[in-house]
Amino acid sequence: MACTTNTFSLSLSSKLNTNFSSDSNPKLNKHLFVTLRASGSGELNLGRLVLSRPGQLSRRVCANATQVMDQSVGEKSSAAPTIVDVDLGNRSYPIYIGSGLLDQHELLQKHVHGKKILVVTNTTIAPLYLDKVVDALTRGNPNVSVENVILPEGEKYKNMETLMKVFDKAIESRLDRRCTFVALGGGVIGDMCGFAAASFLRGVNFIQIPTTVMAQVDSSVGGKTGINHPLGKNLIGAFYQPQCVLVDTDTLDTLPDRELASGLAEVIKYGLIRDAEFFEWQEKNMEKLMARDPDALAYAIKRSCENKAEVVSLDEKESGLRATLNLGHTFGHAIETGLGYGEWLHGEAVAAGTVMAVDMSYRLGWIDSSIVKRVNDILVRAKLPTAPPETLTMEMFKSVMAVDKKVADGLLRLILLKGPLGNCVFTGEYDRKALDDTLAAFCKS
Amino acid sequence: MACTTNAFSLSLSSNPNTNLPSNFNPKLNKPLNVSLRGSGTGDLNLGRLALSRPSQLSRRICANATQVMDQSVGERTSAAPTIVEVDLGNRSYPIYIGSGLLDQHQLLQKHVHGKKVIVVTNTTIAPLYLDKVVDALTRGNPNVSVENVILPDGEKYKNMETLMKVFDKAIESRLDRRCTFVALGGGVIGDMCGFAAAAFLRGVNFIQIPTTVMAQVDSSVGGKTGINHPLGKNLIGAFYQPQCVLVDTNTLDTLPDRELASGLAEVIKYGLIRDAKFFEWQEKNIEKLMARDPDALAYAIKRSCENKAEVVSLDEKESGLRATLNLGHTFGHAIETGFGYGEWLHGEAVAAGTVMAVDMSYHLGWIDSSIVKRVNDILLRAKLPTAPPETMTVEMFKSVMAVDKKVADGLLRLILLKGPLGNCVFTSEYDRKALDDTLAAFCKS
Repeated sequence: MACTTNTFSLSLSSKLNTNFSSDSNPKLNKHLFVTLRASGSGELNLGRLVLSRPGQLSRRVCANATQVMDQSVGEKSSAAPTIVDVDLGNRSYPIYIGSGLLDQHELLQKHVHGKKILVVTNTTIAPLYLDKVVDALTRGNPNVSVENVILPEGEKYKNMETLMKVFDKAIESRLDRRCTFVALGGGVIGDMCGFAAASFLRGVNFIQIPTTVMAQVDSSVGGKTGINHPLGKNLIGAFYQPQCVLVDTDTLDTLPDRELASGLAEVIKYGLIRDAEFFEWQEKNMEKLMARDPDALAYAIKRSCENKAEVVSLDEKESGLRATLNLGHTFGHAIETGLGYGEWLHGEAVAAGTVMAVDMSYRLGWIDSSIVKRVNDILVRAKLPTAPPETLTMEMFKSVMAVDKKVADGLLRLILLKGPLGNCVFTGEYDRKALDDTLAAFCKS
Repeated sequence: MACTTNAFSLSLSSNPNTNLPSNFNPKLNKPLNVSLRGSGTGDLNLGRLALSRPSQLSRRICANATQVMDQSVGERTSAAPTIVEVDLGNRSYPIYIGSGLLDQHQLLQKHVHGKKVIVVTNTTIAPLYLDKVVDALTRGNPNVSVENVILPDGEKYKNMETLMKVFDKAIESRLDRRCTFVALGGGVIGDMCGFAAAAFLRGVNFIQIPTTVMAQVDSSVGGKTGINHPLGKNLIGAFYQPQCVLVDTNTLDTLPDRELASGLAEVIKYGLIRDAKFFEWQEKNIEKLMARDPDALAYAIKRSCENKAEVVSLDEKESGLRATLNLGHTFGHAIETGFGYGEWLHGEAVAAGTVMAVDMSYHLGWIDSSIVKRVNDILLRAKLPTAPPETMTVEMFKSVMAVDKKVADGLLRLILLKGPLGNCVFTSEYDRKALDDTLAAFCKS
């Protein structure tokens, strides 16, 4: 049985800003008599145990807890959140990863500097987590007031019309330059909220609280924000970094299987472009991931964020290396745009796009067939597509790929695999026939 | 009689990238037998003399020209453009100022790095200067192709709906990250084009070619870009610097008097906030400026740009000093928004706003009455308003000022004059009664 850590429960300090001690590690699946500091009513979420504690809670950790802690040696994870740093000099920021982090109000509040906050979320997430986030932001923090704007859910709303609702709400609420935007949702919310924050009053602070695997392993990190245009994905936006990213893995409890798999496409990507060891671990643990094993998920998120953070700190604005994170995305974005935004999830399109990129790499003689097989196999196990939708034609691919952001002075550059697993190149120098052959192989017309 | 320099005419070099020698100074108001390098058809604009030179021109400067040059000792201005540098480290860029700079194609082409350019302009400017700009961009430069998008003219179009037309055109034209946007117009065009460039594909290069006094002395420099929201000016945008600013003073030949005066409001502003000497020069030369004396205008533009460049390089993103450039703008923006975008020109609103700020400063006891008088006098001579429109109410001012970008955590900060002429402060520490009194004094209700 997995051990679910709830770092909130381990606070022994009376100070709001004290870091949690890292040597506490209760097995929370055992009966535990733990009471914690809180004001007002609220739920104490201990992983899958939900204890309701109306009224004032006192701060005592009883003797049982100590015994539990001793027995937890060898169990995964310490209490403090895992922190992956995105190193951008004086614009560096942390990614906090852990279970129940939304109950750690100090974590969030540390990154809020003004008095007003706008939470940007959608119709699916709001009923699940909005209250918890508002509570985390305002607990013990009477000077802060929180507004929210709830957007319709889904890729097809990732556009200027929807974005204007965020500006409208912010302006009507008289938010000023000291305010903070909070993105609470998946990739669509994160990208839109980030771009809104970049543009509102020419730039205000924002925080990412990703609630999907896709957002937790990829889109909430690195500063790429934006919206779609009818003619292409993410054609309007900004590079704009958040103050922090808060990955509360408990939010995945409410994530449907389809969305979970979609996010795994990006996890697989990291292995292919730069982390063979991670890929091998995924090959061993794919079913665990699909079964939502908390340790497996936590590790996959952490290693993904580490890979992402490294690349971003080396090449923030994508003059080269960062483009490798786009493996499968040129074909993938064409699928999303051609089929209609939202029909396939982003990760599903990336999966099919990855198969196409791998096929092309093989045709070019840059990788051997074992890699082709391994990629196919792992995607099938992840229940992800291994081919584009039948309605995508070569022409549709070509016309959308023509406006891909990786085109430079008319030359389409792609990320292709080359060499042993874990190696890729970003190049415009490939035999155009291989591209045509791949497209022909995967498209009915 | 004024001497109008045309730097283009003085090029002796066959090398497109050579700087013009600085000792040239023809009196171009005399008949001059000058022939110049050019290909194809085109007008050679020598100040107010327009000579049509169809077909190939040869590159010879005949003997008469030499004689003319000797006689020009003592006359103002050399041939090379005046260059004011905006110092932002490795993002520094030049402001070129001079007559006929649009004929100096090397100047523009030097700052275009990709193969595609999109010129963003409006219905008024396009028929006047679009061809000239396209010519400057493509002359001797066969690899570059130029698209254009022509927007409706005026402040009331400075919004998201209009901005989308720029994105639409750029995407339909398959522009990529190596492209360059060119803003050809006044402040509205410059702000919109700049924000479009900031957001297109998450950021592409852009160039400013301001064609109004307002844009030449202020808005084209410094990187503030954006659009209006119905509830307030410039509430959506980005800090995004251009590659260069090209101020061809000849474009002012076609500027109506009303627009000319509007731009002078910003010139006057620089004097009041930081440059007493400049203000005194203006007091001596305002009629010359209104009469469009080329030397006076050139100096006013140069000195304005120097002031602007200095402030921007010290405080690019407005954490303090840069806000002083907003003298008169808190009241002014409220007028523009309250009255309806485009009813009053920006400079007219700034003028009235300046009078209000000066009034408040006086009632706070921070300046003496001589400054109040001098400000009033100079604005009258510039034919600018010295009071807001009668329909503005105290309530309208207050509600728009509440969303001004200089509000911090709910506290309205203003730029007020303090001390001898040429000194100001940016502060929220003022007696609120003084603000109420000023509003009451200037509003009918």
